Amino acid sequence: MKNKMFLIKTVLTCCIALFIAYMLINVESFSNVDIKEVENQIVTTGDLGTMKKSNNMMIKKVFGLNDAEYDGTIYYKGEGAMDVTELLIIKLNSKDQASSVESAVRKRLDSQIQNFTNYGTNQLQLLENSVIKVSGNYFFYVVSENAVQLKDIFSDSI
Amino acid sequence: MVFSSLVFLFTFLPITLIVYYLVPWKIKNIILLIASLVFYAWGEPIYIILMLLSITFNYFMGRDIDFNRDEPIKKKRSLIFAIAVNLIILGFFKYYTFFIQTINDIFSVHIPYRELALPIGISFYTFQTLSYIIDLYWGKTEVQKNILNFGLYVSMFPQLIAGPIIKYVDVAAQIEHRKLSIDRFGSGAMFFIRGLAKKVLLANNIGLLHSAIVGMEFSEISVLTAWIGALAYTLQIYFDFGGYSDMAIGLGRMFGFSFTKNFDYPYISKSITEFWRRWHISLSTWFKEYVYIPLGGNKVSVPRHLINIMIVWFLTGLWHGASWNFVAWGLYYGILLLVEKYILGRLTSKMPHILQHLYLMVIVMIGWVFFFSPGMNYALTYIKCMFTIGSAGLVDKTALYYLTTNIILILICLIGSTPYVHQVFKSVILKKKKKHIRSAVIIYAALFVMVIAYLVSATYNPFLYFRF
Repeated sequence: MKNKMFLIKTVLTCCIALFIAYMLINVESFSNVDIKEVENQIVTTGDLGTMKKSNNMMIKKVFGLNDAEYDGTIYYKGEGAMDVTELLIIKLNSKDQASSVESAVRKRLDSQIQNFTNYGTNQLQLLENSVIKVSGNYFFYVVSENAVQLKDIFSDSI
Repeated sequence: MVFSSLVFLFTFLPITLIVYYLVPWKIKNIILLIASLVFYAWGEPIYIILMLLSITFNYFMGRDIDFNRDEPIKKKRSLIFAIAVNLIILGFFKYYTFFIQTINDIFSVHIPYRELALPIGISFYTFQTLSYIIDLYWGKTEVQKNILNFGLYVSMFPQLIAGPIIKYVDVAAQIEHRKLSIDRFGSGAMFFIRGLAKKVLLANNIGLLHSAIVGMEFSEISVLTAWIGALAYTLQIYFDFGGYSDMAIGLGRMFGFSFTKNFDYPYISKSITEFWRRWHISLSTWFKEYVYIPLGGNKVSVPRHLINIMIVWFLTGLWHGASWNFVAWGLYYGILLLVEKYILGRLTSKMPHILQHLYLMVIVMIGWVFFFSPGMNYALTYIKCMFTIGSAGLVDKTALYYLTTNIILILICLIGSTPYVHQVFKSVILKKKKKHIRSAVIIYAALFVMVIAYLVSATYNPFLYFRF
């Protein structure tokens, strides 16, 4: 019994250690890159077109998301009612936030598509080519002519 | 999965309840264990492995401590080993990043690290397993020989992700034998709906006010706006966490368990000491029994007592989050409790009751600033806004706008945070007359419908204590 218990304890402790090691090596980790560095990379190397930086209140107004709930947010938006280009990057506090952020963004995207269907062909094309990406603790959404380029810069920067 | 989600309310809970009530007693625990594991795996499946490892490890450590019960040295060695492994797991998943970041900041080095998602509820279930191991060592409880029953204790979904922290000794008998009845189910359902309404209708709505204010630039925040923001969070966290605890207790009753209350109207307290006897009771009790009293409690010299209190509150702060603002929040309460005990206690107890309430609420509201802030700089700047007149002045249009548009909600929350509403409800409605029972059913059904209407239409449904 004594030896059996020692063996069980050893095996279980090793399993816990192996699990921790696995998590460190294989699981998609949270990025600890500051969101400002990500923004800097995108602004300096990417082409944001007509998009200008917006404040936190606009994130709340447009997506219904509260900036204070996240580790950091960046929102750039095209000016004018006909300009659909926008870029939203959110550094999440936990992965659980990703689904609610994604549903809020999809709601916004669907509403924009509805607004421009049978009305703005170019806008509709941009909206349909939008990119949504969740990478670890980062959420990325862009509507732009350069959506793929911006997504690549984002992926490299985190 | 959270209780205030449609998938939980309309899929997970009904299926679990139906199966649980249909199967014979012999396999009810197994059904509840399976449901709890599914519930846990819903958000982050990988961490179910960690939970299963933790259950198995602590089960065998319990057996080991019991096996060595007549050999004190070996028994102690097993206890220390079990505590160490549990704290290493908690420390790694919760504090590893914080630890490396702190070293990097202090020594200006760049030790690379990977930031991992926090396993949901790890702080809660680790404290539960520790309570089992320690109580077993102290001889306060019997060893659990059935691993499925032990697994159920650790993973029981009603209290898994946000407590209350249930000590094994309090539920050991219920895990083996418990009663199910219509009355118990009904009172559990009422508890659950009340908690759900607190969380969804009050916490979520008052939380929008708080979010709007913390989303502003500091230069735009007047003194009154800052206080409104702090008040909104004060109410949000109470109804959020208190509501979740009510839901947990209600669900427990529906499955035949009795959990002790976790909140007892903390905002009616007249001192900090009383506040902490009413707020997150299960956590305070845990620290008292497993840290404070083993350190000597208050039966030691004054300097040692000061150290004991500060250790307990440092750990309480750290338990809440791997960040310096949580540590500051814990130490803030440690210092204030000592000041109240040794210096101001006699003076404040002689003040009129209304002033005692005000004193307590001001301290609590300042404390929550540390809690909701993303870091220390933010917290200190926010507190500065509460006490000094900046560019937005003492009172501005924004503050008046937030106040007038939310005054009814604030008043409802303030009244709801006292016991009076429930007392009136109990004395008028919950009498065992048919007419009154019908009224109670209608009121609770109406609350449930309002909650569902809100959940269907709103996107804002955070849960503040999830991350702990």
